[in-house]
Amino acid sequence: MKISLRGVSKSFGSTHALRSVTLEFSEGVNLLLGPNGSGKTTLINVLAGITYPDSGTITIDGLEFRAERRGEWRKGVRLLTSRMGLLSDKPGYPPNYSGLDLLRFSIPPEADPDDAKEWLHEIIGTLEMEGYISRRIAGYSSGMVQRLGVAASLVARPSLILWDEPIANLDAKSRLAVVELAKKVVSAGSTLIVASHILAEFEPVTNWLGIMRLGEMVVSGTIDELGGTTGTYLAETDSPVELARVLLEHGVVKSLTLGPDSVRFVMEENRDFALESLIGGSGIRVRSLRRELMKPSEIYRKYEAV
Amino acid sequence: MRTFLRVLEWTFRNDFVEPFIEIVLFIIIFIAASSTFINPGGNTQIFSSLTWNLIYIIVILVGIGGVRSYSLGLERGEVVRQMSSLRLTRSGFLWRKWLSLYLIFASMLLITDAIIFFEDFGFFPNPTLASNWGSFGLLTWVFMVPEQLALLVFLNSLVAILSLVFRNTTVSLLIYFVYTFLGVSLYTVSHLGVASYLQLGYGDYQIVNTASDHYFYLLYQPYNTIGLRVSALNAAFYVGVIYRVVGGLIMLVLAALRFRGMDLD
Repeated sequence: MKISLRGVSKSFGSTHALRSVTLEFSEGVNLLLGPNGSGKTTLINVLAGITYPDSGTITIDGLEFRAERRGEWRKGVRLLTSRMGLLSDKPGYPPNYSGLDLLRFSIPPEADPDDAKEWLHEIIGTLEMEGYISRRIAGYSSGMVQRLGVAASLVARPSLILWDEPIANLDAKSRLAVVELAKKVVSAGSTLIVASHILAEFEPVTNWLGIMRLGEMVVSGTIDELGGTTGTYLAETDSPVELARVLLEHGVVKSLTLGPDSVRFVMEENRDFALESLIGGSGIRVRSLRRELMKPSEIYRKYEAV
Repeated sequence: MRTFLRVLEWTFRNDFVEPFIEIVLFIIIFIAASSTFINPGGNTQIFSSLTWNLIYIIVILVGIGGVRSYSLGLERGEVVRQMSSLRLTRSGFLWRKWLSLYLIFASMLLITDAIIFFEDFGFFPNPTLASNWGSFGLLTWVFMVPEQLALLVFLNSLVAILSLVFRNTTVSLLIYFVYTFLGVSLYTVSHLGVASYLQLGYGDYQIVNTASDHYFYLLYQPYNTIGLRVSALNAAFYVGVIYRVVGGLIMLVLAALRFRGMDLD
């Protein structure tokens, strides 16, 4: 599913929650980062059809819908909501239901019962909810409720998943379980959009990053597009020890790590130009030499500092 | 249909905290039953004042249920939860929620009406009270049921529009109570103004009694003692019916328009 926004703005009175946000989500895990009050939740709500933007355009699989015409916008958002799983900032759980009741409530009536049951149990198992899933939601802790919200957003096997702070109240193990589920649904072809101020757990699986500040999209794009390269090189070779020796003898590296068939190293300032000729002249066979891409956290630090 | 049943179940189990409905039902029946002597076949006139006897509890119940479902549901995110879980459009959700509330309230009133009906007719079949069947009391009961259902259309839509416009549980409920209690207390027997047509509580006077009188004489005594046909239904009847049904439907449409255009966060 291809979703992009152009010039989307939203104000609540004198507060500008979104200021002409333009972006294009990618497939896989899309991570919206930013401090509290940066507009992440509003953006999720706009995509979920909870909030109407004042202006802007949304394009879904090539079809364009304008916010200035509310009926048109509704049609566009309907394309998303009809196949969407949502974990919103106000999850609205029915206290008199058990967790299992709520999850069953969220299974589409047309779903294959056996498949739905199997997936339901897989989610419950991954999030380790077996011990309390049959109890009334009114008695859940905040962590239990959070896991229930994640489960409820996935139970219908949606092709688009919107998560607003999915791991905020969770312990380390549960956070990893949520990321595990994220990987699973993404590998099954779903698009996941996550708004969070916590980056660490999603870092390894993120392939698109949007950084927000005060309602503005500071920067957005895939990690490849945004990251650029770091000062770290990775050389794959059958002779890592010999290559390391050459690099150290010429004094061009700051630090170096040996792998079984690779050498990872950080170059001294302004010495990159000599690298290829140095390696070429050494006679050591190097299968590939590339600069490593920045991690999402490095990208975040780079742009957050601007 | 299946999504409607899920909304209905949510409304029943969550918007009304169990056993709220059971308690209210008991109170309604108690009020209705104690408003007359438990005297089978003795007082069919209870049907012409049943709505009046129950009006405060009807108003309060519909107010609490409606505000809980709409205003508080929005504040807590429960409305969005239902919509997103069931993948409903806004209008799709609103009519399901309205109908769920309506069916719950209507069921409670119909249960009460049925109990009072059988109480009054000596728990059919009771041969000693056979003369009551086909009587004026029966006709009154027949008109009272749709009159109560029409009243629910009005109240249910009123609480929906107020909750969605003000979006604040306390304010919505307060305005709802002011309006409805004022509507209930507009009734005075001698009141001749338009206000008396717009009463909420004494529809059994303006609607039920007028209609049952009219049709009773039309069915059994179409000509009065001097040979003239019975008079037509008066303006109070039509104004009362239109006020409740058409007014209720207009408010429902306005509530739907408001709901379609509002932010739900």
